[in-house]
Amino acid sequence: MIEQDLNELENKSTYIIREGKLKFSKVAALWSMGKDSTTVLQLSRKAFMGKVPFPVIHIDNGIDFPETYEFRSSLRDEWGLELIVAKSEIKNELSGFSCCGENKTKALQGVMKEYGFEALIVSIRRDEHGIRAKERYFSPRSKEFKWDYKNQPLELWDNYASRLDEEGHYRIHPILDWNEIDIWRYIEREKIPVNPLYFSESGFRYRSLGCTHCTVPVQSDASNVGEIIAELRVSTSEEREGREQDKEKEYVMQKLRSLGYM
Amino acid sequence: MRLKRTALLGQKDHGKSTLLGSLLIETGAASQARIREARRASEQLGRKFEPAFILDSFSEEREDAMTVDTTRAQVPFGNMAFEFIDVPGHEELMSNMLSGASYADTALLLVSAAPSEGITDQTKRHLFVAKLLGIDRLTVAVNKMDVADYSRHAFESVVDGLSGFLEKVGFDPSHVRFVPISAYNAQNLIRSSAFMPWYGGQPLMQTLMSLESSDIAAGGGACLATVQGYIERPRVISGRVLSGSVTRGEKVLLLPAGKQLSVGRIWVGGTERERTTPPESFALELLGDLPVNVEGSVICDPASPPPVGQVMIAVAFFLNPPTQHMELVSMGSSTGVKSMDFLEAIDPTTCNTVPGQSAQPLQAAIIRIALESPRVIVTSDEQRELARFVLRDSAGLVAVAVVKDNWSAGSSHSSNS
Repeated sequence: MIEQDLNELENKSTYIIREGKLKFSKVAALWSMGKDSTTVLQLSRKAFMGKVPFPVIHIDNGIDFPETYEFRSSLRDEWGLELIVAKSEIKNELSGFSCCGENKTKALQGVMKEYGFEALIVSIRRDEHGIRAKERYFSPRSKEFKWDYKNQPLELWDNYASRLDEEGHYRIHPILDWNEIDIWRYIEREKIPVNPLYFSESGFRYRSLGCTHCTVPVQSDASNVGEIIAELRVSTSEEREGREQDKEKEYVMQKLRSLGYM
Repeated sequence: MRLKRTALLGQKDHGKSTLLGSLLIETGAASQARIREARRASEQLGRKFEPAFILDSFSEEREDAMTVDTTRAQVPFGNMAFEFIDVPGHEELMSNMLSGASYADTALLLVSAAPSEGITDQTKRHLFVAKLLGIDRLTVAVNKMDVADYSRHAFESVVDGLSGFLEKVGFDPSHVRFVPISAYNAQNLIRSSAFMPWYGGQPLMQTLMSLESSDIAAGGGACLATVQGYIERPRVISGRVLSGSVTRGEKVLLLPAGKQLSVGRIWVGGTERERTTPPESFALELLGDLPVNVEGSVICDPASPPPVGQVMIAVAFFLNPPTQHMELVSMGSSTGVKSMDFLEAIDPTTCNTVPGQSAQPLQAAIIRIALESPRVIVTSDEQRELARFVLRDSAGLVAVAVVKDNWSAGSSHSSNS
């Protein structure tokens, strides 16, 4: 796994976050309490004089881990976050396409409409999945949240698209360039608090966090950030191995993303 | 580790995605899971193993065997890391190609040596656009040598066929390398190929390593920085340093407003600093009589300010026909275009000027633009990043362009219709 220059990554990400905040009047960040979206909150604090300058949204289907909920309240208090919890109902089977797709997307559509957000900061990275490597830094979504991946706006240099169609919104991806190991190196450097589920307990840890129903832990003895970095330096497996939705079918991720999944 | 960003250019079907897939496998950068998945997808489509499937991951891309949108993949090699940007080679997807190539420092062009393929208009168009975007280091991989019997003659005919054009576009021959390869059979990628003993040069990856990229001298030159806007009113702005440095307490000039201001506190990455240098993005306090709107402004040294104006000459590559209501976008900020004149049309597949006072899509032209409001205008020789811009209208992108020196051609005709 390639380790990139953290200052360079930080500079680019803070530039993108500022650009998003300045170009749109109502912006929010999605916060799953995972390592990536928490890193984006730290970058946002650095970009805006120490305080996250927009609300953070948790799409809560009620079946996240208890540790995740505890982490949510403690960091909200510590960083003074303006937290919006969007409850997601679980109506159908508890995994993959319809669970992550329909349920969470509906909850998000509801909260976007209620608050009138024009842009959402989403913490995806190119190295997570082949489909995510196709994303732009600023990516428009239709009213129905659809991603028109065959017809993406041109993104040249620092000129990000920001023209809104009626009732559509933008996804802003400030850490698209980062690799998994860069996130952990940055967490170590910045001493960013993380969800304890990432650390090994009795030989297992979560490498990627979803809800209790579609995430399984991987074998690992890494019990702190330094040990996770050391583990990633020699790892040959993929980050999202424990995520149900990636395995189901070849193109599930493509379908989920084109329908609005994060 | 610093990444060397390399755009893969060339005609559709000349093997860009296959090469990238093979490089990821050969260097060990692709995980076993990724390789297994690509193998399974190949089998499902009833094909032989297709290395391109490591990268192409939209269903349409695999079924139709063409890259639809850009993909990036990182390849560690020796003490370096390469980020390859795979762009579509299909004519209709030229805007996606531009998007990918705009993030590259250097380029790798693929040309097929297969008997019926060779150099095409699209090959040349990609070279023209790459040069326009500021890429001036180039490696040409002559691919599909397996189909051409690994013959020296096939390789040399591509080299001979392309050299004249490369010089015409403006590539310095000492910054161009040619390497014969077979992407599908992984020949001459990271090890010399036994099938091509006549080739005396280095394999592809070693060749890429040896071409130094033309990094813009960091830290040098006069102070120039762009401004994104106010992040905390009334006086904290954010932006990025392009050259020189911005130091606490010094006097600066804010353009195009022409305001003399002084620099207060500076923050980089949330930490207070005395000074900020390229390519940092900063937050800083400006002291003095600040304009209400600073978006798209430039901070500079009052002793050597860049010119401000409303008229510029540029070389443009068109993706769509120009319209009445266009705007110029550069460094994230836009200005209305009052009028546009065509001084000369250029055929990007020959680099010759051609008759005609308008530009068709996929054609280039030298244009003169009059803006609705003044902005800093510098040529690409003065400051590469500030000199480049895009033209767009309500439907999207019209052209990419770079400000050039005054054009001394004869008469010009307005063709803004």
